[in-house]
Amino acid sequence: MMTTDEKRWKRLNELLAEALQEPADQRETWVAENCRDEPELEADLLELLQYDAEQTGGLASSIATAKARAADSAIGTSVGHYRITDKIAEGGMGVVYAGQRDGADFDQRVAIKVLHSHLHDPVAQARFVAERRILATLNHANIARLVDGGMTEAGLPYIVMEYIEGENIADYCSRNKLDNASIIRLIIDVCGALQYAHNQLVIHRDIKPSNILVDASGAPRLLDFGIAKLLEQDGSDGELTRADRRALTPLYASPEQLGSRPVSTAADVYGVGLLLYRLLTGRLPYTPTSDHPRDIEAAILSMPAETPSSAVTRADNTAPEKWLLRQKKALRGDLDTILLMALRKEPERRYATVDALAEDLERYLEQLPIRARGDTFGYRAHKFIARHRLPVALTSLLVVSAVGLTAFYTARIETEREVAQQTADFLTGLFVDSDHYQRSQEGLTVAELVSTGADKVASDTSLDPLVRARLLGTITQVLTNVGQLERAEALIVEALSIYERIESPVDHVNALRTLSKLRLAQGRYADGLAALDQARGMAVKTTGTQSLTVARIACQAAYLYYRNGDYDAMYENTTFALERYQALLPEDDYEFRCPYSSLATYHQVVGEPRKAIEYEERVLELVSARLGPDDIRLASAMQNIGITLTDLGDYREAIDYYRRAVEILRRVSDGSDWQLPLYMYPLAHTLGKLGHYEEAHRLFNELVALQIEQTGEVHDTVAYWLNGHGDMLANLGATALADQAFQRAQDIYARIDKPAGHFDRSVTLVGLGKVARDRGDLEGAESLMQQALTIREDQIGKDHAFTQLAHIDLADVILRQGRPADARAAFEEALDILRTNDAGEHPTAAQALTGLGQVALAEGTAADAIEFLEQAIAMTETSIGRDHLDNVNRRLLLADAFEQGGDPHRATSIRGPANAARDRITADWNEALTTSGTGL
Amino acid sequence: MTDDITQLLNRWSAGDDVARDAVAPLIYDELKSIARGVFQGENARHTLQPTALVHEAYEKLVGADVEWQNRSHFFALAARMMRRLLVNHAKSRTALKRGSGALKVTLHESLLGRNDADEDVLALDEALKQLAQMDARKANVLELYYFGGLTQEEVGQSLGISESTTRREFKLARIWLRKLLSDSAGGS
Repeated sequence: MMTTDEKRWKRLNELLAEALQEPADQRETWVAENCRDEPELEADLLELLQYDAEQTGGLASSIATAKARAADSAIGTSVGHYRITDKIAEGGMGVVYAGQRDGADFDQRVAIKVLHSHLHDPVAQARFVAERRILATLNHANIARLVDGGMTEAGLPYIVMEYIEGENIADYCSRNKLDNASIIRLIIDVCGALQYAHNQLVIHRDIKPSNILVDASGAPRLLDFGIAKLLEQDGSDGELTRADRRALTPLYASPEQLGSRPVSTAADVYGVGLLLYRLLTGRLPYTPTSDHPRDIEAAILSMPAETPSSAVTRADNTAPEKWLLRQKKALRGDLDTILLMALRKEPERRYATVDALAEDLERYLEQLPIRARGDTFGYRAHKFIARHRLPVALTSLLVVSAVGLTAFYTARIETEREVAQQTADFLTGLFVDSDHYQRSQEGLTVAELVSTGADKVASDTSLDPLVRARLLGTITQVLTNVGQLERAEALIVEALSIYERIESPVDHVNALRTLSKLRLAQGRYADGLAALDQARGMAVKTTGTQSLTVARIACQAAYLYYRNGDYDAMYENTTFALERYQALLPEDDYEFRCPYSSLATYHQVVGEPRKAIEYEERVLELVSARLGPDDIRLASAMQNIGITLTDLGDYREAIDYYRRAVEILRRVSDGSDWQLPLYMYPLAHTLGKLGHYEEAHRLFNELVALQIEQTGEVHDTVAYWLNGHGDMLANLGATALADQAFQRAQDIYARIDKPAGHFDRSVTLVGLGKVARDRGDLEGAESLMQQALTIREDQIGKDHAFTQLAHIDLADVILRQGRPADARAAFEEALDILRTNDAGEHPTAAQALTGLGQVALAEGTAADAIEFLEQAIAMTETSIGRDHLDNVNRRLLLADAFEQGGDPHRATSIRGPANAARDRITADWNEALTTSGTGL
Repeated sequence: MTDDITQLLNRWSAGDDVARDAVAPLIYDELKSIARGVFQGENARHTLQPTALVHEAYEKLVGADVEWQNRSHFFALAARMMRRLLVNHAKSRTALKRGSGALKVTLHESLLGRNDADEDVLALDEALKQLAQMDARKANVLELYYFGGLTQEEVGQSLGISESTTRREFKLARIWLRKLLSDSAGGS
């Protein structure tokens, strides 16, 4: 008994065979005659005939006409419970009709989409039905409801949707001349709908203007959800076959869809980004070389997206120039960043969820700092620092970025050591001879072991599944830590699938935690949290809400929240974990390390450095007790404390910690000594601040050399270190050397195409400004410093200590050019801002005061000058000492002030020792240079 | 060795499935080893010629003087295996290169009617799979012809269909295949 499909196929082929017997130029007529009332059949036949080798005439127009007639002929017919009343549109995937429910008393209008493609495979048909059911459960104000669906008599799939009266979003926006904020609000609503769908595990996959209608009330309604998935005819979930690629709108497809790689919710993030891009700039981010699908594909896969603010003003945009320029200005900065992040080619580098994208858009609308950033580490630190009262010293900013690195790598390595031990034991027992395991080359051998082990586990089919799963989990952790993330993912996914089949809650929870660590390494924080959520649910079921496991999960989650920027959740989870640990564990248990270091980070981030140090010291205690003296974790804990102390201006104490950290790094033998430059830098920098120039200089030279050995000279980090070195040299007055350092940094920036407006460049500019100043080119100096200031105002805002630091340097130059009034205003503003940021006692504030003292001197108000200068010296006596070059200079100025104020005796008594101190410093410095060389 | 295989083939064509199961792995191993030689020399050769390989395997395993009946059995099996080999190899290459550098083969008569066209193995495989879902016989015909190197006549005899039916199947099958290939290439 033949199905409709089979009958149809038979008929089609019979007709085709007959048609082929007709002479080529008569086939059209023959087909028309033999398919009189069946335009669909006619269209299909004509389409096939095109492919006959002997067919010379083009049949395209006849096909098109037949198709149109076929589409129209459906009007008035019934499809399931519905009658077709009108044709609305014809698209790539099918025809959309308006219809009405049969026999309904009320006027229930629907949209009926009949898809072009026949689903031949019973498996595909079943999948169609299943998918439809899932889509039908999507119940959201901004999603067009799927009402019904099925197969037509001709065997074509159809779906029935809620009828929506409205226009597509692109037309709506342009017709109503919506401003950016309104457009963004619409998109935020769209994101809400998408996130809802994602939570039900449905991905849209085809976001474009024609799939989003805006109804009469101004609400966006999403159509065609997951339609592309409904058409899947072959195998693996999520991967489009070549035949289904045609169902995609190529222009709007995401790179992974084009590459036939697995599609995740990130594809929708891309889709929304693309849509918003289009609405805000009027164009798409790529310019393919032609309209051919292959060229479009190539453009999407490999051309970098054009920055929205520059795309908007391209020559081929037809809007009025004034609007274009205004739009360019509006887009520049945060909107550029948000859009580019959503449009990244690698799905894992985009926003993790649609919600995250929406949140950043909301932040943009409220003029809060957004979370996305280009490719640099330090941004979050910058902007967040700006909004909260926080560390002030230049040191800490230069070091925070490094800390970001350290914290991350430390988190990796810590687990590696623990897990490596486990794995080694396990593998030793099962696979490997003990001889192979040599302590001294632990790092290398473990990696080799793991690699062999992974291969063996993968191919050993005789392993008990649970043992296998456990092994896979362990190996995943090590692979994660050595950065082999793709391989790690494959393994943990397999382990998890074993746990789906065989219950083993404890192991399952561990595997989920391992998955979460992998996600952390991949930067997929939201996914990591989701895994932990699942783990938590499971743990609660087996051990209750108060168990240690649940507490551990909470602590792990806290770190993810931190990386995700959700500091409140971070705090909540940490305190919960701590409280549980306190109830369940002895006081000095090593596990406390997790909540303590988490709290330390938290307090650091919210601007309570003293509290942060308290916790860091507790961590240090635990860590020293547990590990040997050569453990990198110890070094990182010390480093953290050092940084916090530097922020507080406690340079001496900070240096002590830095030294200890560097010493550990030098002794470490597990291959982590590549991090030496990272650890040496804060030490060098703070030594410089303290005035130990010779040692600092040596250290700087050493760490730059080490860095170059690792990464080559043309590298951002090298420039970063050079900036720091130059800074010290400039403050010392070693102008030529400072110049060299800054020129090198600038050269590197040019060669790596570092954006001109990047914060790091402002550091180089200030440095070069100081060099110019010391060479007497005050105008040049002013211009450079002004540039630096503009960058900082732009990047981190006026209301920020670092910006004011640049302001102070600028003011100093202005003063030297004989404009005391302008300089004074700058110094006063700087001081004001520093005080507001709770840094009124910081060495940097002293600089502002010194400036005011100099202004007073220039204006002849000696008494004021004396007051300011004495204040500045007193402020910095403890942190840098009276004999520090800065204070020596202040003392000399003080002497001048006394002289001007009519007290020459006082003046001499101050000037004498001050000059002597300065001579000593210069002599020491020159000697150091002669013996150790300039290094630069 | 060749005697054994000839015997097995004979027994198989007489309907002995056990014989078929015995001979299949031998053929596969031989094909693989020949193919490996070709794959490794891939950079030297721009395209592969599957039918040449199948013939080579036949020569090695069976020799020239065997009835066409057995011969066509052999080629039917070999054709299927060759297709699998090529597809697996192409997939592993694609996984590495992410879609660029598709594995091309020259079939002994180009599908699209042009003599110089190389076919993309994966595209061909998928198109044949889709065709098979709708009409198994047509897909078989093409597989035997393109991968096995049988003549039209031999195909017909192998499948047990008349000459005129064979001709018709060929004509229609080729049209369907071209349509499917064209669709998957992003629309005509």
